[in-house]
Amino acid sequence: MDKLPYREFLAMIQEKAREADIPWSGSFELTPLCNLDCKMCYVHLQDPSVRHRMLSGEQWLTLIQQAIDEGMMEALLTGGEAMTHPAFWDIYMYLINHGIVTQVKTNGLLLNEEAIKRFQQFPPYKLDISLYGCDSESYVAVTGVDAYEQVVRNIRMAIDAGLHIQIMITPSSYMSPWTERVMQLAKSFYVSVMVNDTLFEPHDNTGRKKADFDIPLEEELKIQEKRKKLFSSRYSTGDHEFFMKRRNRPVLSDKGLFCDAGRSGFAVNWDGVMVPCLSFPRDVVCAYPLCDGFRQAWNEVNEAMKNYEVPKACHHCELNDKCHYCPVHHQKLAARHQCDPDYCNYLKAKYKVFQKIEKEN
Amino acid sequence: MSELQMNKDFVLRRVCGLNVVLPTGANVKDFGGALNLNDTGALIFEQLQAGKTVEETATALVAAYDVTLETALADVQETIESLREAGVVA
Repeated sequence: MDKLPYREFLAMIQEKAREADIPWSGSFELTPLCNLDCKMCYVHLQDPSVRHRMLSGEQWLTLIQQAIDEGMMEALLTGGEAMTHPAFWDIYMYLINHGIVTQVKTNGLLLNEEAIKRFQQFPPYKLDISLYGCDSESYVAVTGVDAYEQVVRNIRMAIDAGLHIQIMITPSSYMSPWTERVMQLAKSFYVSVMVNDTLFEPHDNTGRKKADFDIPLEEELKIQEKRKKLFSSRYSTGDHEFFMKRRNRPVLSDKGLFCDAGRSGFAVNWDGVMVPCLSFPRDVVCAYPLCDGFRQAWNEVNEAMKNYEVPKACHHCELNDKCHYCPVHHQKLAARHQCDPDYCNYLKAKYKVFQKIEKEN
Repeated sequence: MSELQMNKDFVLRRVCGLNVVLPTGANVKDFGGALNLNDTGALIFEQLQAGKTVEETATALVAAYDVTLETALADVQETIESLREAGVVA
């Protein structure tokens, strides 16, 4: 009888689940609504009528139970702002009471004393809190709301309560004047920090465009250099590296992607549509668990991902031992199994600079 | 033999050929991990959690595997001790 820490347990199961087509990891986008208005968010919708199209707590619980029946062991609750969903606590407690290793992503605004007490009593495996600024001015610039004082106070309370916190930073052009200071602030909390190096194209109905908040490659590289100096690894907990090292699979195959989306993981968007991961292009594959049941939806997504043909260009690409084709990055062309040349060129340029820096060091 | 006091805030999951005991509710805070059981251990856990006595559990083991009652009783006791150490049995 072995007692394993969660991380070891999750690592042990990840390859087995993929081989057996078990949906062991689920992401639930509870709502597209949010109490902030981040200019780079790919999800957030402002149309209040969305509220009537969102899934009720009961619908989420039905889906979650079906997912558990099919083998789900870990779950992520996200949004929009997941904690604004009226049934957030019912959904969270349902997962906790069924032994699901649960992670919550939040902007920290609703992480008040009462919420922290509940999390303290029934702790999530991890609480990812986004940090969008280092003062009121930067918070307003990025999120449209002066939430700085409140969020920082809540982060400190959560840390003092002993919760497992990870601070998430998403650099964008709106954060540019303050990005380094935001990283310094994050470091001052002495918890795990993750600095995203990927910005997603927002969904069409958000009215936002990546070009409006993207940052130039030179700036991104400077941020990543600073990140390296401040934090020991890309993911400061080392979780990402830990799990990657335990992945036993070819980087490039004729059929099927390297990543776990749709192979052992799934996501359900706020409108109840299942996709391999949260921002996956629906014209490649999507399914309808509310109508067809979780099992059928999972089978459809899983089959599509097992048989997804990687673009032919990847097989001759100089970076094919480093870059795993991801339909999310090639959104408009992924359904045709093609690469987006802009994204490929961007990655190649990025890699060349990294090589140069490595040689210089 | 006396009845066991099982901590009910644990759940046994059988996924990918593994038998895993996970904490639920308030146990998540103190346990913070997973117990990996073999098939025999899982059967014993299930029986005990269903309120069966040590003898009844051993009898179930005899029915499932080709073992004597004496061996089964020893296995059950050994598993109970491990579960007690892990905090699953009070």
